[in-house]
Amino acid sequence: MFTRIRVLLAHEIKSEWKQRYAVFGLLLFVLSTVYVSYLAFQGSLEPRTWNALLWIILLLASVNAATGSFHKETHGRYWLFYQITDPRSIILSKTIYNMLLMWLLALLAWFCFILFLGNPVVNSPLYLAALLLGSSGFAGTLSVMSSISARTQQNTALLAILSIPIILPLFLVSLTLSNAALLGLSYELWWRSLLVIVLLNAVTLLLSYLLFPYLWRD
Amino acid sequence: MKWNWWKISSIILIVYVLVAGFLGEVPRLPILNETIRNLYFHVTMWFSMIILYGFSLFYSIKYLRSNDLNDDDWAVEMATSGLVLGLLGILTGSLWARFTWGAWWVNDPKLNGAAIAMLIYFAYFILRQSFDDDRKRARLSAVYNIFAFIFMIVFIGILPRLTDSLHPGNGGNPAFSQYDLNSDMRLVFYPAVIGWAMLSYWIVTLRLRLRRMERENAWNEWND
Repeated sequence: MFTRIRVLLAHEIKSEWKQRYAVFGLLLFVLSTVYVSYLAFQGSLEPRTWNALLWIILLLASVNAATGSFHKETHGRYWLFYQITDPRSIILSKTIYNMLLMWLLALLAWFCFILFLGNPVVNSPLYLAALLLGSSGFAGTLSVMSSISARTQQNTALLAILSIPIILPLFLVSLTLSNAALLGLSYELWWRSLLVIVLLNAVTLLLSYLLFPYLWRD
Repeated sequence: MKWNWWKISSIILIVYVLVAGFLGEVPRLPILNETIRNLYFHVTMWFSMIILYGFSLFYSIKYLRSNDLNDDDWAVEMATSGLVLGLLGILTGSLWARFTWGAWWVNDPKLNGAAIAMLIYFAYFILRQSFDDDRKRARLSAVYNIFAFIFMIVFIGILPRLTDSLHPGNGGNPAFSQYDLNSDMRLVFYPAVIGWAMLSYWIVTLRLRLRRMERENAWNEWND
């Protein structure tokens, strides 16, 4: 199974590289939304607003990024995958791929924020952990939801409708945790949020692992 | 006819809850005053909503195992009735909040949880509308329903416990168990939960029959 996931992941990255403009488009999306915020807020941004803005931009960028993840497969390739591999390797490889992509987006978003809007973060390692854990959760949920919405007629708008309510628990807890990192709060005040993020990630992964075979067969 | 006992008893229970709920003796408490009676309506509706969503989840899982469209009908009708109860629960809760907190809506973890639970199930119904093929619709929305239920429980059950909430039962605010030491309120509360759940179950069975008739009609028209 691990080799299969590795091969699928390599295929995913290779085919993404052939259509580089999609990834660069996403990076440009993050860059331009941060720049728009810079112009709109005129540098008067409180730390909490700074954080909320970063997470909202990250959420929207992630939804955009995940839209492509099942839509771009052609019917023929779908059929080929169906023949040669099992659904669980597919969802895991898609999730890992999306996770890497969303980590990239998160780091870029943080970098752009530092560049344009300053860096109020006190506890940087914890903030980084919040970003990485939060965006892996986004990747997990969005990969499954994207495979659902790819099967419908009106697919692109549906992904946001389906996934945003499901992501919201994770979103809010990530916001709490990163606020704690921002303000440099002590350990007792944030360990529960960290635990909940890890648990939510685990639940999402487990559900997608168990349920994806039902989404896959046609 | 012999299976109608529960329909009759659901009506009896609800009439009893309405009468005892509005006229019965309740503890006199500051701020809450008579609004404590909302416990019989708002809280019980939410309990029944979760029961119905739970059944909807059960039938969705059953559908994935059986591929029988009847199970899908059950799942969607249970979710519809659950959503109606949830809307009523939000309305009654909002009315209560107006008289105890002074606002129709406050920014509170429990209330946000309620709102998001609504959003998740609205998304479920929108998803159902976007398929042409019955089986595909049934299968994919069954999967979404499982996600929906689990994240709704996370949202209304786990997250509010992480932070303080104004809502009764959180952060030192008195809840149900603290103000009814004489258990009088329980005598109305539990019948109310059962009453709403049975009434909704009845509505579900009626809507299922309607759904089947419509399907048969469409089938007959197709054949004519």
